[in-house]
Amino acid sequence: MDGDPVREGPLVDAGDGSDEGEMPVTPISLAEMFTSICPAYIAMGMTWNQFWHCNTKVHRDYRLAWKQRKQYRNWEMWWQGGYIYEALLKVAPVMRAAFGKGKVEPGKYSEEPYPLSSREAEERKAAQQRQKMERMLEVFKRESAENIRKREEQAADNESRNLSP
Amino acid sequence: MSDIQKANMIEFEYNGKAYCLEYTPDTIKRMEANGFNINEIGEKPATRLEQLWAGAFLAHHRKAVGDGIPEKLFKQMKRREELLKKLTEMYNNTLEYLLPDEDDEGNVEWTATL
Repeated sequence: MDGDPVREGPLVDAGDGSDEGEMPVTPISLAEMFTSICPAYIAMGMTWNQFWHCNTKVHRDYRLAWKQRKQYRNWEMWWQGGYIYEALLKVAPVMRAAFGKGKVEPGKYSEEPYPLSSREAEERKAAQQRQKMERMLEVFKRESAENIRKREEQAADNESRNLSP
Repeated sequence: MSDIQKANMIEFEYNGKAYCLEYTPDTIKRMEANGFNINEIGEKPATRLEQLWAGAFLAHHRKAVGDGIPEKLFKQMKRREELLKKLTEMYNNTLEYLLPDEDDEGNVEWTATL
């Protein structure tokens, strides 16, 4: 079983109530096979009329689209799992603290969703670096201004001493 | 209609009317109900070819089948070997497109770390 409704289709009941009913035990006609797999295609979004009256190129496209949807869903679930995993990790210290000694603060939850692409990740990284550079530049400017101010004060101080008799 | 879709059909004009021949699950089901079996194509090629030909009209020209148009046309058809090849290919494609490829789904390798 791989979750493919078409592949898992046509099942023929052995009629004796045994588990062998899950395997095709007699050769089935194409009509029976079509009837058997029709619900699978309806589950993929085809209408009953489309299933029976369309060129099967359309069926193939529906199947491929369904496959892509399944891949996307799988990715989406993996993504959600990341959040749950992170949330559990961050709550774990608190849970541990409840049964132990001392106060433990939980980790901070992500401030934004994970990047959806490597490009987005790079853009975020670049933005973070830019912000870091801007902060450093601001500190540098502030310190430079402070140094200049100190030097000027020092110079003024020296000058006033020199001028004094 | 895409080129890929057109590749699985035969189009022509006869007496000023456009015909589009193709197979669908419904027409294959009807052909089977009328005794057609693709596996017998090697044993009775002439009979089966005529059935294949007539079956291809069922999707869009059911009235023409009732009027005996496929039979009339079949008598005028040339290059029948080529026709048999094309119709058999269309019929087989109809089944092939309907069922998943072996590598289409499944055989997914997965691991779990607990």
